[in-house]
Amino acid sequence: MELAIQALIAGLAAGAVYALVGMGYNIVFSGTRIFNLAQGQVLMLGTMFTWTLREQMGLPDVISVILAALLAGVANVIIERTAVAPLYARKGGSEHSRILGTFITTLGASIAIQNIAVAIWGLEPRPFKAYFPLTGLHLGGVTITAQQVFMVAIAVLAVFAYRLFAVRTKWGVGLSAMSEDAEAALMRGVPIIQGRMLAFFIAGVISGLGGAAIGPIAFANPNLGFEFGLKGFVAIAIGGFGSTTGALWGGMILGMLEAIMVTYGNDQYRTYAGLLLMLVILLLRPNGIAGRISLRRV
Amino acid sequence: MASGIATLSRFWTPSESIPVEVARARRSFTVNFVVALVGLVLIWFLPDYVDLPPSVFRMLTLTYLAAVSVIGMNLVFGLAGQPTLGPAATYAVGAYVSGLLAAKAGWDPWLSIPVGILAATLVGVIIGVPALRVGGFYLAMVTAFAAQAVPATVNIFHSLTGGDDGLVGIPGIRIGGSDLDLFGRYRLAIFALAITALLAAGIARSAWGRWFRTLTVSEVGTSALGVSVYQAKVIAFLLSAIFGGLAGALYAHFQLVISPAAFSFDLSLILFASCVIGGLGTLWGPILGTVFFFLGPHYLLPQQWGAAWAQVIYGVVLMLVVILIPDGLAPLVRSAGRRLPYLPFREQLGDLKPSSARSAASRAVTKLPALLRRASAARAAGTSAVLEAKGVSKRFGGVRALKGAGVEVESGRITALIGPNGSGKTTLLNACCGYITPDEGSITILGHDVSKDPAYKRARLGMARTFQQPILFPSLNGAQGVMVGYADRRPSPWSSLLYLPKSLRHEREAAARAEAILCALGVEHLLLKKGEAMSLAETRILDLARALALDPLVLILDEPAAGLDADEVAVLAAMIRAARDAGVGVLLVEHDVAFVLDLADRIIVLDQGAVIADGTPAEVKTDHRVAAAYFGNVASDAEEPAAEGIQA
Repeated sequence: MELAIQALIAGLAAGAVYALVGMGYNIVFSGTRIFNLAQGQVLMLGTMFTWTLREQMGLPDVISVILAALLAGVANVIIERTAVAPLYARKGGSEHSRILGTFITTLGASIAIQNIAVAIWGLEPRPFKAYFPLTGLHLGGVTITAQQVFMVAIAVLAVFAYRLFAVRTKWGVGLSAMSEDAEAALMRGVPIIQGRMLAFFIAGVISGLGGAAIGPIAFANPNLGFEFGLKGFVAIAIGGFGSTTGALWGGMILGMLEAIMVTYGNDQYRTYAGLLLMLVILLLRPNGIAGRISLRRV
Repeated sequence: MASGIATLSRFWTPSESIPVEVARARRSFTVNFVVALVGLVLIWFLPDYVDLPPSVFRMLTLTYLAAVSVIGMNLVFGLAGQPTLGPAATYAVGAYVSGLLAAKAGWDPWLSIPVGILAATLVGVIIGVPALRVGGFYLAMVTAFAAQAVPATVNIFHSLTGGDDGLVGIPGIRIGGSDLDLFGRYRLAIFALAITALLAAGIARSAWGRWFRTLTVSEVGTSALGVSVYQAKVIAFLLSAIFGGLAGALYAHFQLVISPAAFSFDLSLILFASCVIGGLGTLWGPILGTVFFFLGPHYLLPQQWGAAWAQVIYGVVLMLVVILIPDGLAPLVRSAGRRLPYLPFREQLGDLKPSSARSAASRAVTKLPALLRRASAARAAGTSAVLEAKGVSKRFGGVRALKGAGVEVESGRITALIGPNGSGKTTLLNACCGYITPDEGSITILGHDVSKDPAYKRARLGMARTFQQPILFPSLNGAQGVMVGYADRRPSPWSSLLYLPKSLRHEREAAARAEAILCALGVEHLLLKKGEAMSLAETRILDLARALALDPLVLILDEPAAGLDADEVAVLAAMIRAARDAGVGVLLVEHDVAFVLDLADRIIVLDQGAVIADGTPAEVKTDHRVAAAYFGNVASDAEEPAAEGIQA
C-alpha cells in the first residue's frame, strides 16, 4: 500500500509536468487551431537552457529557471515564425491543407530542434543538480520530496496564472476571442499575427518551466522532447482540448498510471500507460473528460 | 500487329462511344504504366550491367521495402488526409510475427509472411478503430505511441524475441528449392514494390480513391455522398497497415536478424518525411520521396557530418517542402515531363466552349429525366412527399433553435425554406440531413423513418445536397468532381484494389453519368477543367451536378445563389427547374427573396424556430406575419409570441 501511494505521489509530480506540455498545446490550439508538434521539444529546451545557465554559467537557480523559461518562449516564437507563419502568409489553400501543413512543418521543426540539441549538448544525458535537499517530508512510511511539491506547485501556479491572464488582461481576452472566432476577432481589432506569436510565446514559457522543473528527475537529456510531447498530448486527450484545468487532471492521471505500471511491472510498461489511456479515452469519450472544443471538425 | 495498334490507339483517342474521362484515365494509366515498366526493367537488370558493391544493393533493397510501406501510408495520409506517425509499428509487427513463426515454430516463410501481414492488420484494427473515431491529430499521436511502444514490447517478451540483442535464426526465403541470394532478394523487393504500386494505383484511381480525397475537402460533404466517413478512414488505414506488414515481413526474411533498433521512432519519421516530400496523394510521390530520403542523405551528405546533422536536414527539408513546394516532388517531375516534346503527356482533347444558358436549359429539360431514374419513378408513381420533417425541436444549451418546426418536400416541386437570420433554417436543414440529432420530431424519406440514421444512409436513400462552400477538388477535373457523387453499385475496396470488373464497370458508369449530367446541364466545358481554375458559379454548378449524380429523390440546395450575378443566377435557376421537372423534390434554402419568389412552388417561412407561414409565393408575399418577421413589427401584433428563443 505504501509502495502504491509512493508511486502515486511520484506519478502526480511527473504528471504535473506532462500537464505543462499539454497546456502549451492547448494555448496554441485554442487560439489558432494549430497543433504544435514541437511543443515537447520546447520543454526539452527548457531543461537544457536551465542546465547551461546553472551549471555552465553558474547563475543562481531562480534566475536560471526564469531565464530558461523565457528563452523557451522565444524558441517557440521562432518555431512560429519559421514553421507556421509562412503557411499563413500564403494566399489560397484550404483550412485543412493549412492545418495539415503546420502539422508537418512543426514536426519538421521538432526533428530539427532535437538534433540540433544533440549536436550542441551531446547524445548522453547530463546529470542535473537537484534544486532542493533530497530529504523529504515523511508521512507514515511515505516520503514527499520538495522536488515533487515544486513540480506540482509550478503546474498549479501556471494554470491559475494563465486563467487570470486570459480573463483579466486585454491580450488574454483577445486570445480568447481568437479561439472563439478568429475572423470576427480580427474584425474587432485583435491583431491575429501578434496574437499567434503571443500564444506561442506563453505556451513556450509554460512548457519551458516544465522542462526546468523536471530537470533533476529526467536529467539534461536532449532526446526526451518527443516523448514529453506525446505525454502532453495524452494529458489533453484525457482532459479535453481547450481545457486548461483538464490538461492538469489529464497529466496527473497519466503520470499516476505510469508510476503504478512501472512500480508493479517494469520500466518497459511505461509507454503502454499512455497508449492504453488514449485508446480507452477514444472509445469512451472522444472529446476528453472536460473537452469543450470538438476535434471532429478538423 | 495492325489490329494491335488499332486497339492501342482506341485507348489514346476518345471516341463517341467512351466517356472522355475514361479515355483520359486510360491514357494516363498507359503512360504511367509504360514509364513504370521502363523503370522496372532498368532497376531489375541493374545488377547485370553495373558492377556496384553489394552494400549498394542491400541499401536499394531496403529502400524498395520502405517504399512499399510509404505507398501504404500515402493512401491513408496522402489521399485520405489522416496523418499517421507510426508506420514503423505495423512494419515491426509484420517483421516480428513472421520472423518468430519462421524462426521459433519452423514455419515456411511463404506461410509466415501472410500471417505477419494479418497480424499487422490486426494491430491496425486495434489502433485505428478507436483513433479514427476522431481522426486528425488523434490518429497521428496514437500511431506515434504505437511506434514508440515497439522496442518496449520486444523487450517485454525478451525470452521469445531476444530483446535488444535481436531475434536470430530467421530463415531466408526460398524459391525453387534454393535460398535467395543478394540479387534474388533485390529482385523480390522490386516485385513487391511493383505489385504494391499497382494495387495502390488501382484504389487511388477508383471510386474509393475519390472518396478518400473527399475526406480531405470536407467530411460532412463525404457523408452527403452516401459514404461512411468512418468506414472510409478505417479502410484507408487498414490498407496502409497491410502494406506496412508486407514490407516488414519481407524485411525480416531478408535481414535474417532483426532487433528493435531497426524499428525505432526515427524510421517512422523518415517514412513520414518520404511520404510528404514525394507529394501527398500522388502516384509516384512515395517512390520518389523514399528514394530521396533513403539514398540522399546516405550518398549526398559528407560522412563527417554525423547522424545528428543529417536528421536536422530531414527536419528542415520537411519544413521547406511544405512551405515551398506544398505538392511535393512528383508534380514537379511530372510538369518537367509535360514540357518534353512528347505527345502522351499533353492533353489533346482541346477546349470545349460553354454553351449559352438558353440552350443549356432546353437540353437539360429533355435529357435530365432519363438520368434521374429514382426521381422519375417517384413522380410516375404519384408519390407526393419525398421528404417530410415533422415537429422537429432542437435546443442548444439555453437556446431553442427549433420549436416543432417541419418541412415537406414533394416530388417534382420546389419548396423554399426562408426566414430571417437565426430563424433556424440551417438547424432544420442539418436535422434533415442527419448532421444533428433533433430532441423531438421525425424525419422521413419516402415514408421511411430516417430520424436515427446517419447522414450517409440518408444520402443512399436519395437525399442529395449542395453546400454553401461547394465540395471542390483543386486538382481534379469537373468530370471527376461529379463522379464522386455516383454511388450506384458501389465497388468494394478489394475489387478496386484488384482492378476487378465490378470496380472497372463502376468507373465507366460513373464517368458516363458525369459526362451525361454535365452535358445535360450544358456545361460540358467543365469536364476537363481543373477545380482550381473554376469560377464561383462554375463550382456551384459542379456541386449541383455532383448532387444530381447521386440520382436523388430530394435535392437540398443551401444558398445556391449567394455571391452570383444575375446572369449566373438565371442559369442556375434554369438547371434547378430542369431537375424539378425531372421529378426531383427540391428543398431550397436561400436569402435572395427575388430568386425564391421566382423559383419556388411553395414557400415555408421560419421564424424563431417555428413555421409562421406555408403557401404559394403569392400567399406568402402578402402574409403580414412574414413581413413582420423580415421588417420588424410594423403591424404591431402584440399578441404574437415575442423573442422567446432569444430570451431563453
